[in-house]
Amino acid sequence: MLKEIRRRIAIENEIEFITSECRHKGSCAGTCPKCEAEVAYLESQLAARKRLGKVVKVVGLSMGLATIAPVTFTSCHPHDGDMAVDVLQGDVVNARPDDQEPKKLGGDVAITPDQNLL
Amino acid sequence: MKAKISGISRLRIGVDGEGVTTLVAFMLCPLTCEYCLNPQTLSVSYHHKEYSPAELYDEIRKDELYFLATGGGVTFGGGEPLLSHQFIKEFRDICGDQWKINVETSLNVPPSFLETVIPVADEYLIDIKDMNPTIYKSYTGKDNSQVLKNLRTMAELGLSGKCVIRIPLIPGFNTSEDVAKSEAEVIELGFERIDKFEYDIGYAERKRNMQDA
Repeated sequence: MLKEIRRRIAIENEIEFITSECRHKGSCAGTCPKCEAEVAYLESQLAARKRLGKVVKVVGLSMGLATIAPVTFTSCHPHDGDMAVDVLQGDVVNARPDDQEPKKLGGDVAITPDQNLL
Repeated sequence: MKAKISGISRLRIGVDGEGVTTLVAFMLCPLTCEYCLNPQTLSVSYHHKEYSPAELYDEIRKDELYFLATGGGVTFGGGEPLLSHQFIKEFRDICGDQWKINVETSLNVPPSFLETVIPVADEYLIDIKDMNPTIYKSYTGKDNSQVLKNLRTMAELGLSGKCVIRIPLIPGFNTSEDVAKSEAEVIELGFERIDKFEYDIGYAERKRNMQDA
């Protein structure tokens, strides 16, 4: 999903954006060197557009994307079960219809042991 | 001003706020919940980092493109983020208006702490545990009079639309009937966005065991 967001930003701002499959070993949460490099590239290109007085379009470009797409936490490959604990916390934005059984969730917003903290 | 931060989790999607968010977890909490998911935030010996608002901004601004594109931003959790109310206010002054600021709170703080944050927060994820004072005290070790007062204040200020009220079924502490009673009470106060769920005790215990190991 993060890759799709990057792609949309590039398209909307007429930035040439050639991406390739991530070769990061293990789960990629969007923080691998390749993903970070793509973000840095976009930022530099957007800054260049600003300097040239061109319009920069970023705000709200992917507004619906992050709420309707399934939670995958990966920018490169969707891994089922990737950061499963986070998924267990569920979507706390929209209240669940009354006729559905409550989901079993993890409780408070959790910092999980498998996340790279600090 | 510095705050003790127990963890920063980047690029969260649809978990604790709209869009792509970064979770910033503060140390310290007034509650001692039986099944606390982040007990490290209570431990004085836990390795944490201290950040000024400007330092935190520098740390997480690397994901600004995602925040802006998706309507996301920062979720302050913990621990109890409202204990760091001045920090959050100062952070808003630095990050500007375009990032969303979400606060995951128990609301069990002095009303003045909440008042500091109200002008700068976009959304509140409020875990009320249970509205019954006896159940609340049994589970958290504290009474919930401040929670009730703060909930009323938010409703009176017309902020209910910014709030998601989380009402957990807590095995061994409350029942489905208690949850229904709590739900009725918060609806009576004027809140509409309610998230009922069940605590996963197994996960909390596994986490605590990992912490102790």
